[in-house]
Amino acid sequence: MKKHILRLALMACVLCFTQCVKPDDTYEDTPSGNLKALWEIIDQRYCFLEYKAQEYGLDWDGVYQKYSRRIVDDMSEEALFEVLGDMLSELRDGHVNLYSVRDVSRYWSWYQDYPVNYSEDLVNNYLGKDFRIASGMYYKILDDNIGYMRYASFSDVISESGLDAIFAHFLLCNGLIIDVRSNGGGSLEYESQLVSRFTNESVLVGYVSHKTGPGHEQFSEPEERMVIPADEYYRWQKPVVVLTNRGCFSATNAFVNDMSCLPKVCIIGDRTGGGSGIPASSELPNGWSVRFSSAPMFTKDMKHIEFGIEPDIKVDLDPVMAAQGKDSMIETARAYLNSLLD
Amino acid sequence: MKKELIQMARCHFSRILALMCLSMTGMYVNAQDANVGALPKGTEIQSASFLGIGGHDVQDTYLSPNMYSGQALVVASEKTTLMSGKGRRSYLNKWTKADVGMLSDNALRGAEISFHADMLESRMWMFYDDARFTVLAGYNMNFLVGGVYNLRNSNNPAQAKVYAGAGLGTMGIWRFQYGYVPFAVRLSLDMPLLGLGFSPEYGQLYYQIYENGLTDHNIFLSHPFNSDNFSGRLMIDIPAGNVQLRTGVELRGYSYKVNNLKSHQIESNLMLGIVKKLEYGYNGRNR
Repeated sequence: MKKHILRLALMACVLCFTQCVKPDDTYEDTPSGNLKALWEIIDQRYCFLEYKAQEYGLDWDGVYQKYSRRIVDDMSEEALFEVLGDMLSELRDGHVNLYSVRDVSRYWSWYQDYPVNYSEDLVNNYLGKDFRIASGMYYKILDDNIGYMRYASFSDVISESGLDAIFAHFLLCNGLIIDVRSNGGGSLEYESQLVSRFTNESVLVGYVSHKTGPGHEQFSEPEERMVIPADEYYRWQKPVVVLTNRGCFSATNAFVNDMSCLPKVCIIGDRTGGGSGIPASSELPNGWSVRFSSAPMFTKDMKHIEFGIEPDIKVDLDPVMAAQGKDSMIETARAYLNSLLD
Repeated sequence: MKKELIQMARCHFSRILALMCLSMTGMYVNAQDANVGALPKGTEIQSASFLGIGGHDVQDTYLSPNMYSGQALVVASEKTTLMSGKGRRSYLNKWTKADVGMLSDNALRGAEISFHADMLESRMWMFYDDARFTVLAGYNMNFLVGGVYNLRNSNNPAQAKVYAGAGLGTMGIWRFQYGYVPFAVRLSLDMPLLGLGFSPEYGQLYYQIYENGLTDHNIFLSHPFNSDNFSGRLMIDIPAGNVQLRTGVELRGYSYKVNNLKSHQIESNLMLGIVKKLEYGYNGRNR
């Protein structure tokens, strides 16, 4: 009898510890396994495959065929990294990177193939030595009573008290220049924090979506992106110019989009670099990490801004003026703001 | 898909059958209830505290397709209270556990931290009891909160684990002597079957949840066809002087497949504890 009991108990244990939801099969840690893993991660989770197929004919299935031919079993890690990095560059996306211990693959043509349109030396001519710094911003009142603030990275922490100090300093200015040229992005939280200082009412600035499944067209219903006014803090009421170049990427691209939806805001400079997919990460069997665009952001008209935003007034850095120590883009912004006073 | 569902149904059917088997072992032998002096309701039967180390396997496709493995530190407590001394006796067994594990992928290049607080409350009725065997069975409530943090990921660095559900459970106790030394072996099996869980959508970032709130798909109904939740403990009580030690293994699994994401966690923990209170045995024989 006892034997029966023990047998039953033992059987119960075995049955109870049988797994019902099995883990997904992992890829082999071989050159071809890593290529397949990377290709499938992008195939299933990257958010711009359909859009880029329409824009420039990206054929992601064809990409696999093309790069799998370059894979051999005994290739070195360096060679594999090069192949995988080349494969990712087909996406033409600055948010896509492959990280190994030795290197980071990247696609930087979104700004390297275009005029820089920014010179720190020239900006320093305007800032001088007596500029102020708050919330990661360098700021100063220019000679013609125009406020100038330079924000180099949306990774620099923005505080409400810091922004209040800046706007209090600019209280009597006739206009404001926000220079975000070559700002490669950072936090969307800081981005919305800054934009909220330029509106008195809630404004629809765009939409954001996310993938709901591995299919190329499986997306959620777009959710509204609203700018909510910073009611408890100083808000700027006068004209604003946002200075842009091809180095404006990611959160800065979103900032330019959001600001362009507000009244009294003019975008001056070059087209932005784009980068409208909020990035996420995944991993390969060999431990390399991959970053990719996961959630697309759209304009309020549901247009993609992955490849940048055109300015209201197109200006490049003029080398003749630069030789005289003047930044033609800042000068254009000043002239524009002063023209509004007439 | 259909094949997978059939497999899962078969698997869960086996589990339920197993729980029934264990419960029926007691009834099969001789269905009798212990006739000991009635203890007041709320009497704490036993209370124990544990420290453990475990091996944890985690695969969460929201973070990475790779399987992560590593060691974890576990603390736990177990408390059993008499709920009803009249008629068929019933008990409330609370198993509360917290664990934190440091995990790495097969290539030893990625790292994840897993952490959980897990509470399992089992209300069980005594189906058989004699000098050597006690068998209890009933239902349970399970509350789990925790997460997995990937140390490298950008905007999807972590996956939250939240679950509340109910299911079936059973416990068997076998008492024996080796020489003059009394031992007790306990086997507890719990299988939460229905509940509510949390999961982001396939490509949804926590930033979006923070900005826009939860969507209709973030809270899911957990059932045997999309999740796999079980807990099993095999423990032995060993008297050591004036102290009663309790040691054994805990196997814990929590997996689900929702929103095209798969989360899979298996823990095997080696536990060592001290029984703090053992005033009454389940049969009132002071053990």
